[in-house]
Amino acid sequence: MSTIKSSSANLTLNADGSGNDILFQSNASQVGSLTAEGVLTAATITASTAFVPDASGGADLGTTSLEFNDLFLNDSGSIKFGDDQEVTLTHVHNEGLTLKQTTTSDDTGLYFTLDNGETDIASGDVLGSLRFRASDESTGTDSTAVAAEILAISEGDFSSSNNETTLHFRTGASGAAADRMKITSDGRILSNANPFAWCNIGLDNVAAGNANPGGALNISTVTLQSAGVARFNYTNASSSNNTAAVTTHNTAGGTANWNNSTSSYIQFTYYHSNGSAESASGVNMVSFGGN
Amino acid sequence: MNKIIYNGANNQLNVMVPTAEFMASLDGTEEEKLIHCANKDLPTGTKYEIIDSTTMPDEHDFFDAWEYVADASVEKASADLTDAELATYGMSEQRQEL
Repeated sequence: MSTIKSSSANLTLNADGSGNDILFQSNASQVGSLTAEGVLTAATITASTAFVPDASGGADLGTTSLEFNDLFLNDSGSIKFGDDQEVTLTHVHNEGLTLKQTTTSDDTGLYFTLDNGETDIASGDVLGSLRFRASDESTGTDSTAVAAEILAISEGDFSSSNNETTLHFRTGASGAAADRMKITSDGRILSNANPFAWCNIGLDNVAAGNANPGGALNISTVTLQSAGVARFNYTNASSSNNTAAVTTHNTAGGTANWNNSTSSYIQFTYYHSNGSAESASGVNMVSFGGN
Repeated sequence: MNKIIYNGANNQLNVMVPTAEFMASLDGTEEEKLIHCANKDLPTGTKYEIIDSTTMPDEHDFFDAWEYVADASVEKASADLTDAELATYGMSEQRQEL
């Protein structure tokens, strides 16, 4: 064995001259190099304690044009973010990953942000999505399609005063997941299991007096067309007139008949127990479907 | 509270009232909000009036006998919503029927 040694001072390996590299050889073959620019190259670089930059934040792993490929971490491995390492992404063996805010002080929640970098968000643009699928399922076809998804989709053209967004909840049945429920920017929950619209109103007060509807969801106006005939105009039109509704009123023995509906409204006639149409003083209406 | 009255498809007086929820979502004066309601829920060109509901009869048993009598000095006509407003309400076109 031969040894290059300096016992009393720094040891200098000098490839003297501009652009000259230091080359490492084994059995006459080059196995590594240190270039004039300071680039250290070898097939495998091993660190027994740490692989560190020259200062906190002083160096990157990879560059914009020389990106690493895979990253391997062991069972207890984690990625620690921040100068205080207060946010960690940790492997949980045979389970998954844990993203954690490690700060123990009060009101330090963990925020996981899906941030869209587009500079001009238009209506219908997907802002972000969480997808669930089983891509290795051996039966293929439908079974490997996205089985469930939560998406945030813009409702309109974003501006300085508008970021209206709908949250879509999708599940699959046979093939790609489809919308089952939506939460709109104005707070409506749209699904076939939720009311599309509701209203309580005194029709007598529509005909005369001063009162307005006592409460409503997705009803812009109520029109009394004749005694007892009320049309509930939707604020947001339904995507079809395939709706169903329940309505009651406060006349003992009274009845109510559906008599028309479109994507824009639903209409009923309210009857007194004697069979005559009447503008009941207490009417409740709930409409479903039409999403 | 003001209301909207017009001559309906049944050739009778129709009375339209906005919900508090919808009014709260609109900008402008009460009259401007009611005009928006008429533009949204009436076919374009429908003649209507905005009236103080206290001027309406208290007794509504004879509602079907009431008539819409135009007062040209205050009568308005519903107008088109903008394309953006139609989109906001999920409407593919202006309201077509009274």
